[in-house]
Amino acid sequence: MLEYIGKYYDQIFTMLVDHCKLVFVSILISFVLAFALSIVARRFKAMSGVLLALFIGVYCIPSLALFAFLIPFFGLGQPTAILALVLYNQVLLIRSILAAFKSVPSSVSEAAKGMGIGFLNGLRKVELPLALPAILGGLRVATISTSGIVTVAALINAGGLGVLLFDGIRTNNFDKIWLGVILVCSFTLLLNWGLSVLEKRSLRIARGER
Amino acid sequence: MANEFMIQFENVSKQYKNSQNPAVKNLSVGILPGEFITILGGSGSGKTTVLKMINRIIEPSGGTIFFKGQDIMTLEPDKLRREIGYVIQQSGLFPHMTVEDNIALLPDCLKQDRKKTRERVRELLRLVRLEPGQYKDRYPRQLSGGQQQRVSIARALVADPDVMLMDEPFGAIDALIRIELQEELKDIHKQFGKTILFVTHDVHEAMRLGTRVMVMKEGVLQQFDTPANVLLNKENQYVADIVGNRGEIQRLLMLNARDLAKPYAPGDQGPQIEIDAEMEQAFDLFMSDKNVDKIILVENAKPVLTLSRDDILIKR
Repeated sequence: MLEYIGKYYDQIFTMLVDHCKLVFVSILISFVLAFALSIVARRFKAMSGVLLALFIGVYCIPSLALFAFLIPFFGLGQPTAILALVLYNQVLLIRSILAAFKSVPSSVSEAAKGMGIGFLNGLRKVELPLALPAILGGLRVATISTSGIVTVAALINAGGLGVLLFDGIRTNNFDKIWLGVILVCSFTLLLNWGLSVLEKRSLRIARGER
Repeated sequence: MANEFMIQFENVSKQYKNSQNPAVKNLSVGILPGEFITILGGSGSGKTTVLKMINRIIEPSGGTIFFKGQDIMTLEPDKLRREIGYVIQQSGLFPHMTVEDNIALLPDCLKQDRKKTRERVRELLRLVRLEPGQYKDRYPRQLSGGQQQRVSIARALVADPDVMLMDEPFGAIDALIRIELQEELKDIHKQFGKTILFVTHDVHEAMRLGTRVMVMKEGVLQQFDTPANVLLNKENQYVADIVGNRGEIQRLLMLNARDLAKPYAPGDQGPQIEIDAEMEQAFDLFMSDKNVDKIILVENAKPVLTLSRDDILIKR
């Protein structure tokens, strides 16, 4: 395996960078979209049921099938992969964001509302800091799931560490497969660790234990 | 006519979606500036709904509420709320902010001068008897229940509102501290002349604090009168029930001495007690000395009211 790394380290590095890029970009877009949808769903209660049902439906589609479905419209490559990942993440993120806001004590939200600081200030200064630990928890799950699914995106020419895995399987090269597995797992564990540090920190802040 | 009231309800009703009976039914009352109104009732009486309709936490389904003569539905909700202090039972303090930041949140959001705000916070903490240096940097979890409610009151006062809405603020506080907080709230009311609406299910609290008491049952206003008249009312069975089947003297003991006193007339003579004294103190004086016919209630050493033996022991 070391021999392989020595020979192709620049290609492996490119795959790793692609993998990171795919994960970060799709998580970023997923989060912004899910957050916006959650805020709307909180104001119009009926919408949350519709949104969740819709995205649970999407989540049930196997990743290969979803890619196949999107390719005729968006072609091969990274944009299609990112779109699919964003769609998958919605159900995980919207659910956890809604639950996170629900976990803010109603007396606290009501006190903020009754003060007259306005919707945005109430959200930014009171509800969000208190909901943040649970939101980050959801983000962590979505990130781990994305880092896994993103390997499948290698099949539609999106690059990333999945290339190692599929090449390895095709050519029966166990070194490649092991390397791919080790890299994907370490990368995912690293993200998991980083996000759980943030999560713990935000929890201390929310509790007033700075 | 509407303009003399601080808050006026005109035929106000509230019907919740998933409930058969209205939470509040055709309520029409006027509240004058500087009144301390206690709203008394059991659970499901609509007392909290009445309170929360004033700052539009709950929107009425019928009728009109006027705030300083203006229909509140024509006002911008946040602007209205900034003129009304709001204190709720579980304090509603923001756990991630220090005491100081909790109190300063509204002025900070309005981008008011920070230094002035910090000074105001200190002033308010002293008002609610918390030493600023000791408490301003604490987090809510580091405070006792009573201290949390003090901070909550300070926070509600930060923009110097004319009206305070208080939803069972002392409901979860143990008895001794509750009495202390009640006394301090009375002082604050007296000192600043705020109009206060205070929801409670505790008869003693309603009588001790209110200048007038609204008695609610199943969304309908039963009686709106002074504590003395509510306590001594015998016609309304519900009022009699909620006030309790106590003997009349025991009911009287829930009052303050001033509630049954008359204006002081020159020549009235007798032992002096403070104007805020409880009825019990007056009773003790009458009981311990048969020759005492009158008790003089003094404020700042000046006689203001006279309480006659006849007023409480014979005449009813």
